[in-house]
Amino acid sequence: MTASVPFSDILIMLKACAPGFSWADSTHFRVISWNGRTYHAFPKLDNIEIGHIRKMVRTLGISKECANRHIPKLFNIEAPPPGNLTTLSH
Amino acid sequence: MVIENLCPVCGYEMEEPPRDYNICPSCGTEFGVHDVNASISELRAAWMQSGPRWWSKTDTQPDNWNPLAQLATLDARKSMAHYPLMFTLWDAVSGNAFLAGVTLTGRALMVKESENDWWIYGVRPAAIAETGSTPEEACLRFHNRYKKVLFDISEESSDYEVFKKSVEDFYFQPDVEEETRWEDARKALRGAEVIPEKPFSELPKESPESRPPQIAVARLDKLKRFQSSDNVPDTFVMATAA
Repeated sequence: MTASVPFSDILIMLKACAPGFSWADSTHFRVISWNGRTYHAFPKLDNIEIGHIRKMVRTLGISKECANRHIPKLFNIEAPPPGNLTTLSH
Repeated sequence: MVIENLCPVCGYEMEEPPRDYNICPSCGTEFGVHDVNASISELRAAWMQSGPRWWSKTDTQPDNWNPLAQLATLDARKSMAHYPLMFTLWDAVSGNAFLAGVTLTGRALMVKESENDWWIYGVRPAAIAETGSTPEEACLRFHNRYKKVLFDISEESSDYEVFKKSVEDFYFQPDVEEETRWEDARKALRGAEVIPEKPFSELPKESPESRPPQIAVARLDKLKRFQSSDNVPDTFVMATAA
């Protein structure tokens, strides 16, 4: 079974990664809007399976790196090679 | 290598596809007989307990036959379980003084996240995902979730025109990454890098050009007449090469 995340943690992630976002309950779902986009089909549950969270993050155009900082392992993102950090520092 | 001919039990490349009473010479599974009352994993476990050893007495064992290597190859291919689906759904939606018919021809990616955990991710429409313990359950729940989105949009729409515009906005909202994953999955199938398992191996296959993504919202309560040719069955097919 897929791992799930408390909705309260998702709100914390949204506040940090999608400033100005809004959400409201419709009859069947939570409707989350940001960046001129709307995700209509978010589950109205206390704990949300990560497949729904991934889909919402991608569809709204939220930074995956930012989302991962608040919800660890939400996405498999390869770390940049160490050489890149050295290059950036010069 | 003819992927369609690989035995799902042991991974051996048979001369004919694993169906219609064909027998795999490597593990001895007779398809249509042994796999009716036993699962693939049960048949595989039984074969593994035999050694595993070459089953056929008439077909000679290949010189370089390596049962564990062929099984590892099979498992590696099956672990890439991403299936590019295309579908057509029709739904009637009541709203504020209107009745609308919505015909959706869409795209979705079915992914086996783990055993008994299937996810279907919308590509067009993109802003939707659903899960199930089987692909069939995921598809059914996906349609139900999509229908409820239409119902919610209908509730929020003051009239038909607002509803139509909102449904089209929902449909055309993109997820570029999902589109790329869908296209990659289609190429993998075309290149025979993935073995479709049931029920995908039994789905009709169509080229994407034959079923272009589109959504049509029509006002039904203004129609002067209805006819049986207007009916649209729910359809799921697998996308293949053009």
